[in-house]
Amino acid sequence: MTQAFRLAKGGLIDRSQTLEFRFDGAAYGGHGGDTLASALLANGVRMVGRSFKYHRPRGVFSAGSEEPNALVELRRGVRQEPNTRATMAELFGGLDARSQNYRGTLKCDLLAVNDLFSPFLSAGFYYKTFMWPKSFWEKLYEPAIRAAAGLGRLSREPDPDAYDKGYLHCDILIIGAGPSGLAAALTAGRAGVRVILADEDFRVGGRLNAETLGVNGMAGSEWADAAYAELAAMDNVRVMTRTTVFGAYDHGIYGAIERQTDHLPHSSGKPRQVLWRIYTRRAIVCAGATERSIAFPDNDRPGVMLAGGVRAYANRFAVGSGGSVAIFTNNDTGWRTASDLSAKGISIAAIIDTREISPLAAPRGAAVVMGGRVTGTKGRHGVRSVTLAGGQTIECDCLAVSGGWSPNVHLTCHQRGRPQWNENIAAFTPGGDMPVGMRVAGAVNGIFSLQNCLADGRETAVEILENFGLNPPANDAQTADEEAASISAFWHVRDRKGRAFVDLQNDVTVKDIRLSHQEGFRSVEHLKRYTTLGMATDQGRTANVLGLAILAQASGKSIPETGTTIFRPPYTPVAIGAIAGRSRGKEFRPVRKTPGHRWAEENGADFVESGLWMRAQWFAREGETHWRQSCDREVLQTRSSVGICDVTTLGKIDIQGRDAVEFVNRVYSNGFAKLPVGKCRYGLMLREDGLVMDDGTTARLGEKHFVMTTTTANAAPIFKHLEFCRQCLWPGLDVHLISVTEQWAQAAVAGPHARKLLEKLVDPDHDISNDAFPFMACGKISVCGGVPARLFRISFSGELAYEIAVPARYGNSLMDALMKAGEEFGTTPYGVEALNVMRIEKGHATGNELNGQTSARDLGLGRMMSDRKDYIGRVLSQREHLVRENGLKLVGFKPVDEKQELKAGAHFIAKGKEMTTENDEGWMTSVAWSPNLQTSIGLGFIESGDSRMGETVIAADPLRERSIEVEIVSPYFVDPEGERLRG
Amino acid sequence: MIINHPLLGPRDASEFSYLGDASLIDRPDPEAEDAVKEFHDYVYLRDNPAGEHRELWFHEHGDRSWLVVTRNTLTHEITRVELAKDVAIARGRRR
Amino acid sequence: MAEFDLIPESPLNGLRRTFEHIAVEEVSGRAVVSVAFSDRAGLEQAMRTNLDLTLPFVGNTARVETRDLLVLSLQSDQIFVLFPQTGYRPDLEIAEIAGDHGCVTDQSDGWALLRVSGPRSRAALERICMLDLHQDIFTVGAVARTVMEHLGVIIHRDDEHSFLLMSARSSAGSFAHSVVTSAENVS
Repeated sequence: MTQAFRLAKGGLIDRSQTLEFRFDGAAYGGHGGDTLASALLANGVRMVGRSFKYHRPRGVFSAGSEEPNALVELRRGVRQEPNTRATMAELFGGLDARSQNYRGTLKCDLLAVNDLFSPFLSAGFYYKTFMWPKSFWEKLYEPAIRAAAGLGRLSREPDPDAYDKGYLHCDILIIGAGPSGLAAALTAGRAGVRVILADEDFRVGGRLNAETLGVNGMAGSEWADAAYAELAAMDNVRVMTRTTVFGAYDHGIYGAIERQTDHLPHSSGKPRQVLWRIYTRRAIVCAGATERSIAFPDNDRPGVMLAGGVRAYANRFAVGSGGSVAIFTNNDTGWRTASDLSAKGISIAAIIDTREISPLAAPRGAAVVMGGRVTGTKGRHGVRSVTLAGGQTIECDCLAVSGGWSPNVHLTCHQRGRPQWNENIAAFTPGGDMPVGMRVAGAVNGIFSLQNCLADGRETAVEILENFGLNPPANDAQTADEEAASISAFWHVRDRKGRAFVDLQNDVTVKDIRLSHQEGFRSVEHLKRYTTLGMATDQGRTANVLGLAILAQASGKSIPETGTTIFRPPYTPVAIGAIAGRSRGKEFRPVRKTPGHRWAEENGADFVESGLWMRAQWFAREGETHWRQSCDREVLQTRSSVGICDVTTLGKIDIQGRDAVEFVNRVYSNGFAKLPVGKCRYGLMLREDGLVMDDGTTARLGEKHFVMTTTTANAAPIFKHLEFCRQCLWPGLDVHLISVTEQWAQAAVAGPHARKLLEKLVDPDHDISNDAFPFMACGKISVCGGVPARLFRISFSGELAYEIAVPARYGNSLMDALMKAGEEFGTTPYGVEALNVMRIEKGHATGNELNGQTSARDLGLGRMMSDRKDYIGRVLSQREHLVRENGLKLVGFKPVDEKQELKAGAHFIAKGKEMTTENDEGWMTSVAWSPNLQTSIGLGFIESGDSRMGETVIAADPLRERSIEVEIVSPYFVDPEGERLRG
Repeated sequence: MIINHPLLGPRDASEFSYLGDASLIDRPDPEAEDAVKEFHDYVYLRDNPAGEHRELWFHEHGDRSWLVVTRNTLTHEITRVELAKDVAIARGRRR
Repeated sequence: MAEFDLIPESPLNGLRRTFEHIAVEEVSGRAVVSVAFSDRAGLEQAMRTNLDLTLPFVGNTARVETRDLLVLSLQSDQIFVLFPQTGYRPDLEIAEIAGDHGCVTDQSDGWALLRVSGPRSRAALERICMLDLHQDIFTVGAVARTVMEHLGVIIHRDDEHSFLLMSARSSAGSFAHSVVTSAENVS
């Protein structure tokens, strides 16, 4: 528990707080303000994982979200999360992490043997190696590859954490709270506009925390703290730390992920992460830059780190990444690592600069090798020495490398923008085609001096404020220490052969890139896919530019000619759980319940989802063990006595206005112009292409007032269609549509005793006798002492039947009252299964028949297409194919052998003919067991069916391997004359 | 995506549902001699421009108005949003 | 008294939950009547004469304090009127006011009404509401129809820290759950 590499003083850590944590089972200590990576380095843990392909030892490489190596399994048990970047994991007491991607132990990995086979595991080795023999693929190669593939392990349990999402709005979103972001936020915040400042880190300041440069006479991190305090106190500013803006979407919308409890031992039931959708007028990307490496042999050993990271560990975390540090650089920032480390008492073994002329003074005691190149490293589980091009060997336990800085242009490219090459900094900067409303400031803009970053942030904010027509605040410029940042591009060391890594996470080497080019994969997009360069979880943030440069060299082209791959969201990995948010399990979508839901539950209903609705399928009574028993009883009881069914889910649309009748007449194919007040009519609605869209009953409640019903599934689409007709086709009609599906609870009361039952509830001043209220009558009535109701004498079951509607608040009570009033008749509730049986017995079509491919003629409803008016679908319903004589017709079917069961989906083939598509004459749409006829019955479409009564055909069902003989019969199986419903 | 509703201001596209080409407003004359051909073209034929497209959106989770949105299919830039009812009237549709 | 009495039930059974700085409670006893109109001028005149009320434009509301009546303007040709429900037919009360200038529909039973109030109410609604609820943008008195958690919702700000939400009765349970979860998640 000694933190041997912790520096005696300094750093932005809380030394008063010691946090215990475990790594690979061993206990260590760290401090508040540490990341897992800084705490591991403080404890001298250098090797933290194995590489993906070759299983080579790897250590912490960087100090930020770009980390390719230090990926760990964080937490244990069900909350175990693989591939977590140790550089981003905030240390907390009790943190438990494990290294990953090895068999055996981290130090002694059986799969490290892959490294010996590396000559065979080069780019494209899959495609070349596993080609033959063919039979080996499934049995040997694939299972072996799968077992070896992947990095960390999942818990294989459902994610126990909660996630949330949310929506934020601002005038200016500032992405990144480094120097430019803070400067921009101060200027914008002081001007009073609504600002969101987001940063992926848990403290603001960006590189100010990692450097020793001062601002306004203060230490950089102190200035950042002061800026944070000022911003946090502003009502118009929201500072969001631990928040990564990961994507730029259309119209100024940004996606961000806020890690709310990842830094705590427990989430305490609160959402672990929140996915934010941020609506912005403008955005300023201040995402900074990422340092890149230089390719040289064995540049992947633990202890080889980015120089900026080494600097950050020393300055921010008070951690020495080694006891003796060598520096290999092609730019001035490497020298800053030397001076900062030296100032903290860390010995600098050497500065090896690829340039010829020394730009700066080296710290005392450091050897300086100008024009130098590192040609190799030694040390089994970590660097012990490095070798230079001249053969010189330098003892060191850390090699800090800087190959220059690549601006984090990702968000600027999320709408297919292409970055442009900037020779001065040897890096890509944002091109001109950024997302609308987006600006960039600071390092992402290729501006690397602190003073200029601060100024760029401020000026960008000023420009936006002026664009908004606002006055920017005066005198808010910041001043900072000067620094040197010149660079001379140098990509890879060619003095010695040996594996020089470019993409550390996916183990892509210089040789792989050359091989890819040699084998013809020369476009940068092909290179990426052939070698997997940049395709790991870090998306090659430290690797891509280096890879491009090497490809450019191999092809003899310039880097801009070579181009970049396309950047897509997300900028860093986002947990799938966060994207799902709350939409899991039963909360995946809302549930709709009818007012009578409780009544149904109390009566033993078994529910089925119908769209969002919960509908009762059947009501099991004591002793019933199979749904068919319940269903048969409900059918028989309804037909012999009376049954009640909740039909609230049908869509109900109030149609009102002077032109209501004209409107209804135009959207239905049959005539409604002459429908008198107090009557209903079955209506058929076509699409403009002439096929049937929906059907339902429409009642005329007043001269200017109709109520239309739609099928349950089509309630919303029909409303939309009617509004289209009203607003887009006939904007001059005086008609209004109001959905009243939710307002009315509706029940069907069907069976010979239906009237007697209803008479017990309907208030005495309403006469519902057959004479006063005949079949297809409707009216506004009242029930149970004044409760307003609507009564419709319509029948889906074919029995004497009514549908009664009451305001939804009385819905449950109405069902109870109907049951109670119906006790003397043996009233049964019935569900959608019984409803379905009864409608098939009556030959009524539903969704199975109105499947969007059938015409009114097919359904036997040709007479419902009026020739006296125009209506939606009329013209195209007269097309040749739709009016042909031998078209499909909806008819009934019975098995010839009555013991056989019909199956929906079977296709009709004439007897003796082959089962081929050419001989297909139609199909069975709906089947049921008819308890009345004691046989299986069906409805279906068959060519010229109406003139083939009595004919026997084959209902072929090759998928279920059963084909039976069926007889074509009338679809009206029960009460074909319709006497009951008029009774 | 955000649609700037002419009456309500900017609203997230998820409040809306999409129908298609705004030419659906121009329902042909059913009494015309070539009505079948006209209706065939009206129902089945659509332009598929790479660039500016006028299309119908329904503010289903909002004020239930139909809108004609002029959107660039390459950039998603929305340059104009009109009430479909106004467009229909301007194109001569009445009763 | 009739032989069978129908007992009314509110959509959320009087739900009431309180959290730190947030309260979520069902509002009951309000009649909701919609008036759809083609003749705005006529309806405006009728409202002025009978209620001394100026018809608000879309996105706005108007109040008649003496009658505890609130008009929500939701569409260019439709308003909702909320007021205390006293009888079976609140639509008739409004029909009397609107005369033949509007098509009146009782929707009192179609909606669940929920009030979310308290200093953290906006923070809770941020989790489900896409609209910008900043007090300078969605001002006191504003109303909008939008979508939250897949459900259509009418939202009205009746005070700086108080929002009235209306959502369909059938899915009120799911809706209330999402509002309560939001309150839990931010408190």
